[in-house]
Amino acid sequence: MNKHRKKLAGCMIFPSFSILLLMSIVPLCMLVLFGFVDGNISTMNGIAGYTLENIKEAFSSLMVGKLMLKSFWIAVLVTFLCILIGYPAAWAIAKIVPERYRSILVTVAIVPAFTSQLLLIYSIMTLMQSNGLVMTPLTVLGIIPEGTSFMYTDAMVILILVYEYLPYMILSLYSCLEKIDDNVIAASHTLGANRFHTFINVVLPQSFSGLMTGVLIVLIPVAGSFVEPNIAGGPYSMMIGSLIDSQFTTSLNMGYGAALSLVFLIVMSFALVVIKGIMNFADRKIGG
Amino acid sequence: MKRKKSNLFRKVMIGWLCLTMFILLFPIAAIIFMSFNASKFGALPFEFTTTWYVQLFESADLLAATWYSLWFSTLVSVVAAVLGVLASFALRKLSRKWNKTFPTLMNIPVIIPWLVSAVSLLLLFNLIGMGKSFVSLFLGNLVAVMPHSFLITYARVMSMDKYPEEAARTLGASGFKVFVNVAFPMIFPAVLSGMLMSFILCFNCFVIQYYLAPFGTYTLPMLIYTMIRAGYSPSINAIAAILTLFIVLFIIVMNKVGFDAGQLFGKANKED
Repeated sequence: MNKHRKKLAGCMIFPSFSILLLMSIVPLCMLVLFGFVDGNISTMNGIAGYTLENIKEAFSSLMVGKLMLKSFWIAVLVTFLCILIGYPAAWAIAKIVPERYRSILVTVAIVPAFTSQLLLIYSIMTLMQSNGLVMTPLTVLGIIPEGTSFMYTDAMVILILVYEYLPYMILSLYSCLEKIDDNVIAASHTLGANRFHTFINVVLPQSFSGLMTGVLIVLIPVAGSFVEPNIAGGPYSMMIGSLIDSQFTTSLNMGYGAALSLVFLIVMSFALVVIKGIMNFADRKIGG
Repeated sequence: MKRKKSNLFRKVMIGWLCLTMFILLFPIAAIIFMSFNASKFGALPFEFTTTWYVQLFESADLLAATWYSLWFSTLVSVVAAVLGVLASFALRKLSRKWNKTFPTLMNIPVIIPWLVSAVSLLLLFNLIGMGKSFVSLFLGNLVAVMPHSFLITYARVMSMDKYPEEAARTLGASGFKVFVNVAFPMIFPAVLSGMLMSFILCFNCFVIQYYLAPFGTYTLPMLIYTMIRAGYSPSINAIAAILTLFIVLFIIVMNKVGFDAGQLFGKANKED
């Protein structure tokens, strides 16, 4: 009986396990192999030949290093801005607003998160163009000189990325802040801690897991983004994602693209370890 | 004195929240507003028109792409939900080791940027001669959304009360009957919200579709990408307005399902 049930369980988990293995883990591991491929991998002939050039180029090229640094710098900046804007907002939803408004506010925050990325990019671009809804009043009031345009700059790309990822940050912080017991905060006040100390010693440590999730779901996709710089950025707004993408869509050098993806994955894993380390350290320092 | 300061703090926070909500909603509201504006480039002054909606329904491309995205996402999310339920129930019967490893492995497709997953999948499909095809598109999107559906269902299955099932067993119900009549209704809200979640994700999963869709097939995000790159097209405003309306309805339905179910199954549902 027990053996039969074990077998049944094995059959039930088999489809998702094999999809996970074959469609995610195997291709990622095979990137190592693909990085050595010379030129393209075509559907007809498979792999034409192997070369060391791609990997060498990807690891030593100055441009790749610069783009990598820039991408992670933008990712850190966007994440920081999302926390800066999102933390007070999430706190207000979780603790200050009357309970009956909470679900509607969360719903409002979900709307942009559920809207297609392309439409969000498009809407910001419509707003920010030189005769759009935002720029027209600013020029009329004389705050900015006529003809100023943010379009096709790094600032535009960052603005779009912050707008796109802010809802995720708010939602992950909210779900964590909501669980903090009001009594604990009240107790901290009663025991004489001021607002700042309560925040540092009570609220922040308890919201660390939410903060960590928020950082993860914002930082990594932003570092690997290519759609935003492609559409809204200028010729100098390239990020590492755009370089990888161009190997597959325009310059068609798939082997090099695979090598770049591999380098990106390695740098990303390294960044993750560093972030986890910093968070753990801060958690112990503050919480202890 | 303290009271006064506290009130000020609350007011500042509420003000900040309103500002944030405004920032989140303003671009979407503006695009809906612009969909009724006569200017072709979304420029001021405002002049009312419905031309763009007429144009939208006359252009076969956008409607066809919307339809394709809709049924494709439905297919993917239903398959993802079924796989998620199967895996979650299987894990209840499997060893501790499985329960530790499998959910961790499921996080891999979530953590890896979609660009890298898409690129590696394209190379793999090219290598085995499948290339860009419907099957590649389907599998690529499935593996991207399946973890979300699974993790939501799994959390619910793990926090589920065992006694109703045992009671049904004692009363003589077969394993299948217990599942259909007792276990599944208990986790249904989680399955449904997982399914809705993966539907939305699949509908918006531009990067993977861009890499894996067969030539000549356009999903809605792909078509919008092409349109934006080619230049400004006011029909996008119109479709954005319609989609936003759908999303709002969708979220309301989701909340309703979750809320009602939460009341039916007590507080336990709030845990996930």
